[in-house]
Amino acid sequence: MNVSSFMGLQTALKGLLAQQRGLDVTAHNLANANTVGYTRQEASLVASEPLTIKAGALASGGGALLGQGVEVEAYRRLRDSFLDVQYRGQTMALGGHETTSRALASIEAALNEPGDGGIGALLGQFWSAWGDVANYPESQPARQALVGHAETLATAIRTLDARLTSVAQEATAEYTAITGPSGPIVAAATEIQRLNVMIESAVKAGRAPNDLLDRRDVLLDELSGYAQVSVADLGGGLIRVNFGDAAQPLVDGTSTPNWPQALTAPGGRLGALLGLGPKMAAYRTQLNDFARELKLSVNALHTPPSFFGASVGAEASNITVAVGAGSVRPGSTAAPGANNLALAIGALRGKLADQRYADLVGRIGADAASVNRQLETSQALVDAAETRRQEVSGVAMDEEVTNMIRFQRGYQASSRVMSTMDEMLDLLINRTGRVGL
Amino acid sequence: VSAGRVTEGMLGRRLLSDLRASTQRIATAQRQIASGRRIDKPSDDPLATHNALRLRSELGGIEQDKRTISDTKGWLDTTDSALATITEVVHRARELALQGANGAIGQTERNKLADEIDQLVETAKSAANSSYGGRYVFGGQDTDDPPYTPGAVDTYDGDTALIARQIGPGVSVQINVPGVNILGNGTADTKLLRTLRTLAADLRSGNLPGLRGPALNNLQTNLEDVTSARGIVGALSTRLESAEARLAQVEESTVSLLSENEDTDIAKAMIDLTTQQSVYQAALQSGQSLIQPSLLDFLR
Repeated sequence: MNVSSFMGLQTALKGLLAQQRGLDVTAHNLANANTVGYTRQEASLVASEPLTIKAGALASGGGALLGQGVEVEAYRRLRDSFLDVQYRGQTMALGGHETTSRALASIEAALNEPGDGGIGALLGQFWSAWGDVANYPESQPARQALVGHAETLATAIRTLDARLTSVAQEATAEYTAITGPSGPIVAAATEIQRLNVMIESAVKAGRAPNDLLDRRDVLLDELSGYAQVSVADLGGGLIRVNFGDAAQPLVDGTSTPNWPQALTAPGGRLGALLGLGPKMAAYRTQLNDFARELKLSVNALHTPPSFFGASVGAEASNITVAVGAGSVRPGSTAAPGANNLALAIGALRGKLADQRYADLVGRIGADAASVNRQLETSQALVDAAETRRQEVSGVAMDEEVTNMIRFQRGYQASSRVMSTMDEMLDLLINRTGRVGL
Repeated sequence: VSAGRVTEGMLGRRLLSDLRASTQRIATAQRQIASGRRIDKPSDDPLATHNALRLRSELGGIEQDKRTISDTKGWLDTTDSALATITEVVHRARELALQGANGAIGQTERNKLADEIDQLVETAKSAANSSYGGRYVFGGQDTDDPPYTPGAVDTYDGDTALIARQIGPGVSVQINVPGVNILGNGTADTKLLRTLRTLAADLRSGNLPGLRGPALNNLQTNLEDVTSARGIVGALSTRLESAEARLAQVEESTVSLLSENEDTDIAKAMIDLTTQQSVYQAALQSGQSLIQPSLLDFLR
């Protein structure tokens, strides 16, 4: 079989087109260098199917394969899905630690310890006020001051208890807002389902929906901050997304998202929000133990009347001072100088009530310190995972510019081949066989 | 896939997170220097916070004990000067009794002596009515009313209850002397007031044997009462002094523990701050030179 004289032109044309596609992809990469979640692409070039030339094509008399130029085989998306799994796992941990850390920071601010405005300082002033009453049991101003200090202390305890309650309530409200009908979960799930539909049809038509895949990955990253996300490939461009410990998949191929669903330990930000309720309840129990000890130890000496009033089991939330300056009893007898009770109550300083409070502060501090350390670690891990993803998928300017030059030169070379072919054909068509004309 | 690629995105992110960490450390050092405190919130150092609460509570107790001691010292000074006055009364009464017992002087003289004894009774009662900070120190726990009434009635209007003060953790002392132990109740005892009244009556009636014998003996016993009360008060004052000195020592060591526990080591914090600032500047400079050039800068 003979080879067409014009085949070279065709080969050069293919070269021109392929180099042009390469430039197009480079332009797309450079344009998206700063797009969130963008994965760099690559036009993968392959040599075209060669032309088989029959026996006699070679000097030895054998057949041959003659190359026919270049083709774009695919536009590849350079991404490592294993790195996505790592990134999402760390993002989930980060989301949880951020939420817990923020809540504990607000409690620490309310504690105001160690400082002159915290309950520790108020407690010290309360005991000192009893000491003053012991020194001046007949003095109305000393007792007035004592009642004032006691009121301040009781108010501070109630305020701290209310703060703990409201942190738990805020967590519940935030959880409801995130998982609610206008929250980010349902929005992301709906868009993932929509993208599934579009990606499926693109894949069926044999197109590579690279930018749609990027968009879907960004949404999965976003979801992973809220809870544990696991993705299963269903083939044909479709994915199934399991969210937290929900019983049904959040998104399953092209079917409508399953939301809302009940979560118990979803991990991530939602898991942290669910965990704040029990955590605050534990702190409140400890605060209550302190308030009860304070009430019981003072009332055991100062009775009747009881010095502090509080309902049993909810001391921290409703502790009050049940006496006025007139009914404070410095001593067990009515003598104006009697001060044995004031002395005994003043000696409660540094005893069980003080220790219970210090234990509560220590526990909150230790919890906050530990979650802050975890937060730092998971931030570093997220950064590391993102760096590795960027290493694979990020756009490197130098690389793109180098490619640009490569494709430009390739284009120039192909067009030079074309003009050479043209000159050759010119010689053949216009000059050949014109001897003597 | 191609590992080891370095992209502009990576450089930017890394630079940003390094700068952020650096500014955070600068802010921490600055806060520690400005507030003078190493611990700002419990999570900065949970154990130190726990210790801080305990140390502050101890300091509060020390402050309170110091206040009590200073108040108690005033109370004891008042008691002691009243007892000193009463001692003088006893001495003077003894002189008067000796003069009266002298057979050489006349009844008119004795009557004058008796009048002076009446004055001494008033002096003793008014000393026993001494008060400190509005509290009658000789009235037992009945600190609101003067224990004795000026004039003829010598009845004690207080009680015999003792008053305690706490001068250290778990250390309490009795600080009062009920007046009835010194001056008596005016009747049916051999205490000072009764002794003086008998003395005056003996002077007026010229009962020389009574003046020579029982009066002087009783005065001697009364003097011993006062002296022993003064001895107790003096010993208590000494004890307060030493308790105060010990409290001052404990306070000093507690304050230094507290400072060690929660105060900023300024020298260290300053070095941290300076180091972090130069790190920050270096990071900014390297960022500037790192991010700017690319191959684009070298192509036409």
